[in-house]
Amino acid sequence: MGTTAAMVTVCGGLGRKKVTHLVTAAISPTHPRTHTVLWRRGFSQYKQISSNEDLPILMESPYKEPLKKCMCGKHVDYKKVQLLAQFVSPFTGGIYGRYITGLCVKKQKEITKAIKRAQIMGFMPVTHKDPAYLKDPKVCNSRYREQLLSCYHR
Amino acid sequence: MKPETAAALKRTIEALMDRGAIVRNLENLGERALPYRISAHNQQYNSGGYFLVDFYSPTTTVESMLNHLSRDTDVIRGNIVKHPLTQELKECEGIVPVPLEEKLYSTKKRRK
Repeated sequence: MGTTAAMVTVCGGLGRKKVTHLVTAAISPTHPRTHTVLWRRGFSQYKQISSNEDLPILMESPYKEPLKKCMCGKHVDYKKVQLLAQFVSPFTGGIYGRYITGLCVKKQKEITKAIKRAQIMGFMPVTHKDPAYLKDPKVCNSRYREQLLSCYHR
Repeated sequence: MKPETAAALKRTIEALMDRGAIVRNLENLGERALPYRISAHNQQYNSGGYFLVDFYSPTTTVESMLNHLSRDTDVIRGNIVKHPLTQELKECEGIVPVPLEEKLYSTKKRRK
């Protein structure tokens, strides 16, 4: 059993007495529940305190927020060109990366595959975004690079 | 609907049934302008009609069916794809935050 000993040196200066007390505390957990704390003072005897009621109980944080979800519930179809065109650049027709779209790994992969399929089958244009879908609501953070550089502007 | 397109559809479905496929459904996705100019059978096309055929078939017939579609002059571009609704929808819990500090330095073993 490996004992991890943490040496904490606390220097406490008392006002009246000029002698500074050096209190050395060695904490050695021999058993996970009981922590034996040994206090050593310069002019006192050893005292062993073992307490296992006041120590904090290990549990999952109750203040944990539910994980952020992207469009996880929706089914991605290669025929739904309007949905797929939202994740494509209007100028070059290139598919946006995950840091711009903000999707989870699985959905990003599904959308990429669907876009490539639609482009090859003749549903979606390759080099640009269909002009009919240019006025759609923005889903992607397409100004990502400018957002990063904006902190340098006054 | 033009009689040529009807004849082409009939030909494809009969070819499917000859290879032992059971046709479930035939959908017309409309006639529209193609997203880009497609050249097929020494001709360029700018518009075409889109049709979707649902069918059950053994996996061995896929190759011969693609061959048949490529030889048909009325078909601009034919594709066969697995039915998307047969795939199970896995429940996604959400985006798990990944600690990026671990990815800052590479843990590859370097030859000293």
